[in-house]
Amino acid sequence: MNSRERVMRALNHQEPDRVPIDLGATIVTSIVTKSYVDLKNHLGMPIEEIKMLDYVQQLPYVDEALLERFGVDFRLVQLPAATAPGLNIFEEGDYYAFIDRWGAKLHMPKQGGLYFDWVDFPIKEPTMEALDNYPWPRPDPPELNAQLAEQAKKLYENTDYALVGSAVIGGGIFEQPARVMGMENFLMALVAEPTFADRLMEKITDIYIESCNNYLDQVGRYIQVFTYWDDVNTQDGWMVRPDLYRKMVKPKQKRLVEAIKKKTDAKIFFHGCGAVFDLVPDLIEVGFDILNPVQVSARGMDTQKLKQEYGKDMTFWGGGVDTQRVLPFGTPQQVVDEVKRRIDDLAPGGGFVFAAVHNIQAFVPPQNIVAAFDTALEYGVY
Amino acid sequence: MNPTLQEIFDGIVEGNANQVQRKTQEALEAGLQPEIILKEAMIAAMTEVGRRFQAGEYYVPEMLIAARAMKVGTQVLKPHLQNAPVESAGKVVLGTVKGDLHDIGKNLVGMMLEGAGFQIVDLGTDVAPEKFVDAVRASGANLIGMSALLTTTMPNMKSVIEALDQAGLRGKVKVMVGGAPLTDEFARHIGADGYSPDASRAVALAKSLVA
Repeated sequence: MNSRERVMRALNHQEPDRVPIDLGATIVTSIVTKSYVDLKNHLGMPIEEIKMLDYVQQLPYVDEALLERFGVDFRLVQLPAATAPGLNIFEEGDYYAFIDRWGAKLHMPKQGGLYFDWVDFPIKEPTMEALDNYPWPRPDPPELNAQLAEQAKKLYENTDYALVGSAVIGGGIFEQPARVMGMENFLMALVAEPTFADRLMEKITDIYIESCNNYLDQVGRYIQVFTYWDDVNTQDGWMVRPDLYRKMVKPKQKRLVEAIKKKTDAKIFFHGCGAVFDLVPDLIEVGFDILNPVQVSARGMDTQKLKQEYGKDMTFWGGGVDTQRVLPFGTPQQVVDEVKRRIDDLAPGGGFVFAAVHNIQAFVPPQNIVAAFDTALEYGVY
Repeated sequence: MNPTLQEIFDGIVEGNANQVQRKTQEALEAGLQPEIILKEAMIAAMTEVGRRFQAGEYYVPEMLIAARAMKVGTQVLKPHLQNAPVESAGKVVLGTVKGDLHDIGKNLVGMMLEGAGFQIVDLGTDVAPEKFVDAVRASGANLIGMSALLTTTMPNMKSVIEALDQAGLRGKVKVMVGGAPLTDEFARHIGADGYSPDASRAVALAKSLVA
């Protein structure tokens, strides 16, 4: 069974020959550059040029040699999300800085910094005037999507990998407003200035639909999975009232997903961190097929219960090994035990893709990463 | 409760900053003592907000607009409080540790502590150990609150505790920690005095540490 067949069976809730494995097929199932370099050194693999896929999270394009070593069944066909081509990184005091494609400024400490984070926002006031005067970003130009299409076609015709991509040029519909006006200001606007918040999210949805249409017109026929990310929960549960989510956010996610489904047969992947157990029925209604990252350390994210409750409708992509405690701080044996436990919980009947919970962070022992992926490959056999 | 105080209380709980501003003014004009307004209306309201958050009736946005409304009210009160100093619940130095720029959780803790009558010295994000030490020294704070979102930055909390030790301040200041990847066990392991999983419970923890 080749990778694409394996993945399609798994995504259609049938058991393939083994659990499909992902590392680096999305910007939420990858590995940060620091650990990537440590891991390649540990495996005695030469490091050639490191190309950056995601500057915010410091994620590289994972190279072919490592993907093959771990038996990864996917390949990525996607441009950087938050940053437009020709990104300019500059220095500002103790920080590296850049302006993202939405006009927000990000900082990373020069000393000990591991990520860029948003520090200054283009929309200062929750007013309609601010939205009228805001220079909205443009989707990537058609020639870049044409290049992606060429890459996708080659991979589709000459390899057996399942292809994964996205054209969401920012955070999710709920996340991105926080990145243009600050999280506290957006959360307050949601309840205190709902007309403003609604228009902001509608406009972001419009931009995403345009970007996704451009991408899918050229790439849509080649990909098997389309990724979307939107953190609407905390580690303890809902960040906002569930009825507020259902009234103000969910319909826009649905509008986007329906637009995407018009252009591709790909399964739609939803990434949402934290305690999302009670969100899943809404995600199913919106039309999402896949749930990620399955943050097993968050409240109520019991993998047995998730599988039992939602396994018929949702593929779990992630949850393969806890990234907050076990992977960084456990022993290799604890990692092995954890991976086996998650496979036992999530793999039966298909509907499971092995990946760590979110990107593998810095300072994770490479032995632990190897233990996780080797266990997935061996123990994941049906 | 006096009806004006009740309206200030309700205004904060509902996050209605205009009402709080108007009614605080009215209360002062009617001759109510500023410290009574602060304690019986404002701090009591934020306690109620914390209760609703913990009970799952309130979420982060409701907590934020309540804190914003309280801030507007305390700005009206401030010039009057200076004449009649109110006993502070304690002084807290807050900051997100070195290498980490995340501040939502830390800000929420700051707002809730302020709402409970603590004085806050907020050092912001990416705060080096020596800055915590300097701030404790300069402010005479009796409590430090440290935040970290990342598994990669949470070890820096230990460096702060070590720096306090070296500066001879560890005995004078209690240390509380919080943040997504933290646990009670981690807090104990690095020698902190307490851990709180959320902003509301951070208030109870802070009160117990300075009691």
